[in-house]
Amino acid sequence: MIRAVHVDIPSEELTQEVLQQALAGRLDTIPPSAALSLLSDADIPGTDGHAVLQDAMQNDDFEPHVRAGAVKVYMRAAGEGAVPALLQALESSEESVAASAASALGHVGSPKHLEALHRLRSGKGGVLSTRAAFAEALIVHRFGLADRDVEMDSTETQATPVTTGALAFVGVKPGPGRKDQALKAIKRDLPWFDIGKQEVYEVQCGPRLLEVAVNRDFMGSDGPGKLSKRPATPTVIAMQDVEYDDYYPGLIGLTRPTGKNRIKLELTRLTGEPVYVGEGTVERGEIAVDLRAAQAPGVAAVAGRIRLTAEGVEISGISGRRSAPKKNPEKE
Amino acid sequence: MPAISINIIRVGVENFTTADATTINNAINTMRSIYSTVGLTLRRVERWHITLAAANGRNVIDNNGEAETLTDEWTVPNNNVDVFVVKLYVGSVAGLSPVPGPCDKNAKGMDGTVVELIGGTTGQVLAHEVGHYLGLGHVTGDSTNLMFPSVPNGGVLTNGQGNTMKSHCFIEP
Repeated sequence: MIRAVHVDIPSEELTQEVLQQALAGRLDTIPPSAALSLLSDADIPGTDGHAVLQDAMQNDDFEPHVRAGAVKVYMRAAGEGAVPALLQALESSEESVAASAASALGHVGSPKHLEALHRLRSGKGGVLSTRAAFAEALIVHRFGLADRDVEMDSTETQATPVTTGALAFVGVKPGPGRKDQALKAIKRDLPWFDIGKQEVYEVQCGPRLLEVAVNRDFMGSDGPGKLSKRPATPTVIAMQDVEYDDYYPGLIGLTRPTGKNRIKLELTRLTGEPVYVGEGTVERGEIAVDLRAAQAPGVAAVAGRIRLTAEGVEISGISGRRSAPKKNPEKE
Repeated sequence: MPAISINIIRVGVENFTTADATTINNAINTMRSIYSTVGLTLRRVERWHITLAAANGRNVIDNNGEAETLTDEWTVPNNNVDVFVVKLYVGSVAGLSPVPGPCDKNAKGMDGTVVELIGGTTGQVLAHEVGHYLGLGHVTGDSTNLMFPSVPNGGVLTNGQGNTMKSHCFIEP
């Protein structure tokens, strides 16, 4: 179980000026993080939350992490309407702000923004480059751009976990309450996600509960064949957040053709790092993909199989209990 | 006297100021003071950091999933509780921890705590999250208790809670 602690905010004192002071780090009672959230979620009289967030993205008086956080919150609040401000933030001299804007553009941008992102990935390197690369890939997959090459690094995978002591998992249909809750949670963070097109399968793996949303466009008798023709984002996986009795999107599934009737599936974090990868073949209107865990710090070994058939989606596999070696911080 | 040791890991170290260092030191003193009321010593505080480049954007935590990922990706190879200190954790959440935290910090799942710097209340957040790691759940009916789900609170621990904490595998004699 995971537990959080919250900051108790004095709601009766909230005004636009107070929130701006909070963003500047001048209030001990309201941290900038809470102010960002309030500007996005709360209806505060006399406050134009979107305008304040936009100002926060561009205001050099604010600390870089506050500006980078404002970019993320504004993207979720404004959706496609955030694009002009995000393009401006891409030019920020502060790398964390520009990287945050690049990530956000991947979720609300369109093919006409690919060149701007491509320039960034070949330019400064570091987090900006990697975020821009994933944003570019995400747009290509969201829009199914078959004529656009996606330059994604190949991912080394872990060996199959030892069966003894491994956690087994299998996909089932969830109840309607959990399904709705998971879909709404995904939509909250991923504006491009189409709730109305999804089937949901539930996977319990040890203490972790996952809701796997699969786009119906890629199901049925002719659905799987579409995946062998163009890049796509056929699935998003939501993780249960026990603390809030809610969900949050944890993995995005990207598929693309790799040869005749062959596809590659990558399940990546929202920031682009691959977590599970696999390849599969489309035969007789069905796809079977064997998934393995990426050789990445903190990722546990997995051997999974996903079958997409005319009847639905079958998910099964096992997961190890220990993760791949982690990175170590630097000692002071 | 039973003792616990922690790793203070500053994430995105370049963004931390001298004032932040003071906030962290004050937070450690607050935690030490709260834990001493139940006979638990804060023994070693080791200082570590992750640079902005290495943090790969995780210096700004966007949701609980990203906090969990941070603890999944990084650890200090010792038997201290890992405390990842970040300057921004979007939303009203100021800290996150598993309950209880595992003895094996390479186990699958969250195996460190994440604490946001929030000025003078950071000490209660730090003590609260390490309390979770040591096995304490929330206390919902008593705002004087450290484990009340929000801060600021009274910062009190009961002897029963102290006994629970002292039974964790990271406790040193």
